[in-house]
Amino acid sequence: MDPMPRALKTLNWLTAALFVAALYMVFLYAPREAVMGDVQRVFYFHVSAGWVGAVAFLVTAISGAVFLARRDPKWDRLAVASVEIGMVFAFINIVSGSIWARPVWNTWWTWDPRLVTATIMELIYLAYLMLRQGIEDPDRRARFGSVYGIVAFISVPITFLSIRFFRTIHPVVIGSGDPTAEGAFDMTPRMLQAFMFSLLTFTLIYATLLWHRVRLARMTEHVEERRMQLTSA
Amino acid sequence: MPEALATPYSARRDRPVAGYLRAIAAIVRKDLAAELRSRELLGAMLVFSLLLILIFNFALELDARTRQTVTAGVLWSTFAFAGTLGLNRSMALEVDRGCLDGLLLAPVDRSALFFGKALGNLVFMLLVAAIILPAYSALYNVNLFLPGLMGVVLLGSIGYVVVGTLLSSMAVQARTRDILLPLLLFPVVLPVVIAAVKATSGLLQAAPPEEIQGWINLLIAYDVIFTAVAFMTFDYIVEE
Amino acid sequence: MILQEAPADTFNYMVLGFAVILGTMGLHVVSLLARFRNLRRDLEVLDEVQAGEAAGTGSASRMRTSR
Repeated sequence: MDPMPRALKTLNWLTAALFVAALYMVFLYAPREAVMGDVQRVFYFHVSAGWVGAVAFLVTAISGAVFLARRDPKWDRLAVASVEIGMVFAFINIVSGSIWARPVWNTWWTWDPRLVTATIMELIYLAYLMLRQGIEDPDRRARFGSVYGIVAFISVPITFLSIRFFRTIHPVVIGSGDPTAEGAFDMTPRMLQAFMFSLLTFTLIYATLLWHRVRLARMTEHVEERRMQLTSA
Repeated sequence: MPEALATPYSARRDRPVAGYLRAIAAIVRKDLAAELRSRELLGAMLVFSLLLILIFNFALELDARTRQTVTAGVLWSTFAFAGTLGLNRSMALEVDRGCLDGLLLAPVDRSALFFGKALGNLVFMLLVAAIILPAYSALYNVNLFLPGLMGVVLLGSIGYVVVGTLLSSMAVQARTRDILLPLLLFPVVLPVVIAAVKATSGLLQAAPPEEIQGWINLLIAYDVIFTAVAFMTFDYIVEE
Repeated sequence: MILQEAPADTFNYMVLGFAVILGTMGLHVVSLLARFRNLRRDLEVLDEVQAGEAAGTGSASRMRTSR
């Protein structure tokens, strides 16, 4: 099994450095928010994690489509790898959102369209994995995974819009009346910079983890093949 | 084997659209005929729906006041759950009796198979609705016979059945086939449930028409988008 | 003069939030490392078994010759 390519090693270091810088920006560079206080700092990574969850899902859908067209198993491996990482970050998004909501709106859960959509996305990921688990034949597993990945991804923006439309008619009593505001606060330029930097850092974290996870998948298959060879020899 | 699929290939090639539509009709007729004989599917869906309404009656305190706000939700929850029964059974029968393999051998476009099954499922769902709506009306003295409401039931059922047929054709081939379909279906079909409930509720409570129109537009958009998606992806599910 | 309230003391919630965020990310990375290590160990075992077979002393080759 080929050793870690130099590009990946470089990426590791770059991502780690950026992460440290992001922590600095979030804790020290960005000012404390005037009303909510320190908990607002969670927002930077909360949104970035949500962003990664959505990007990962998109990658899974596209990867599945390419697999259906080309039938090269590497695309299916990419899809599964992206699902795993997406699940982790969607989970982070949901829980950090809940923790942020508690002191700000005095509730652990707000039926905010973004939070609800993130939860639905997580459930779809889970369903995706359960579908794959229930199929024996690897080719069929990959095909079905690809189809569900595409179908489910298309449903997510529609779900988001329907929940938002729902909220414009039934504004929730807690929080502001505007259904699109999620913990409305004005972002000073420093906050905006910290926010953009976090987004960039998390995107790179996603790419790095994805590459590692794909390598893991390839290695797993390689080991399986070797094992098969040995037992059938 | 349905007669439509036994016509000589040359004849079908000369009039492809007619052949396509005839194939769909043949599949729907097959499903309806089989169901007429055994009635197991419709019976199960109907009994299940009535039981659900019974449960909701006690779970939700459907007194005269709350009934107005809650009727739409009860109806669509019932349709959603009873619908999975129908979808599961319909596809399972196909696979277990080996019909699916037979149909796949027929020289028709795979999508005709999909539309045939989906149409059959839609008919079943509408039949169940045709009995549940009057039953609910009678039990709770709510007038459900508004033309707009019929339209919403139709649009919602179409969206539900299109995605449901697509996903059940996958779920039925998994080991965990029965519990898998709801898990796959419900998150994806949520916009239909939301829009259908809000549109129904709006019609029952005489909400402003722009509001209801918004939900109906959403239903139509969903139906169009997912019919297209299903049309494009069904081939990949049944290729063998 | 407009009196400005001090910001709410939400320091504990911030700690909790970041504990969850960093903890989950950390757990995931650890799980990846662990899986890589297991695979490398499996490869080592496979290499040993194969080397043993090549030398003609492996149980597999013994099975072959005894048939």
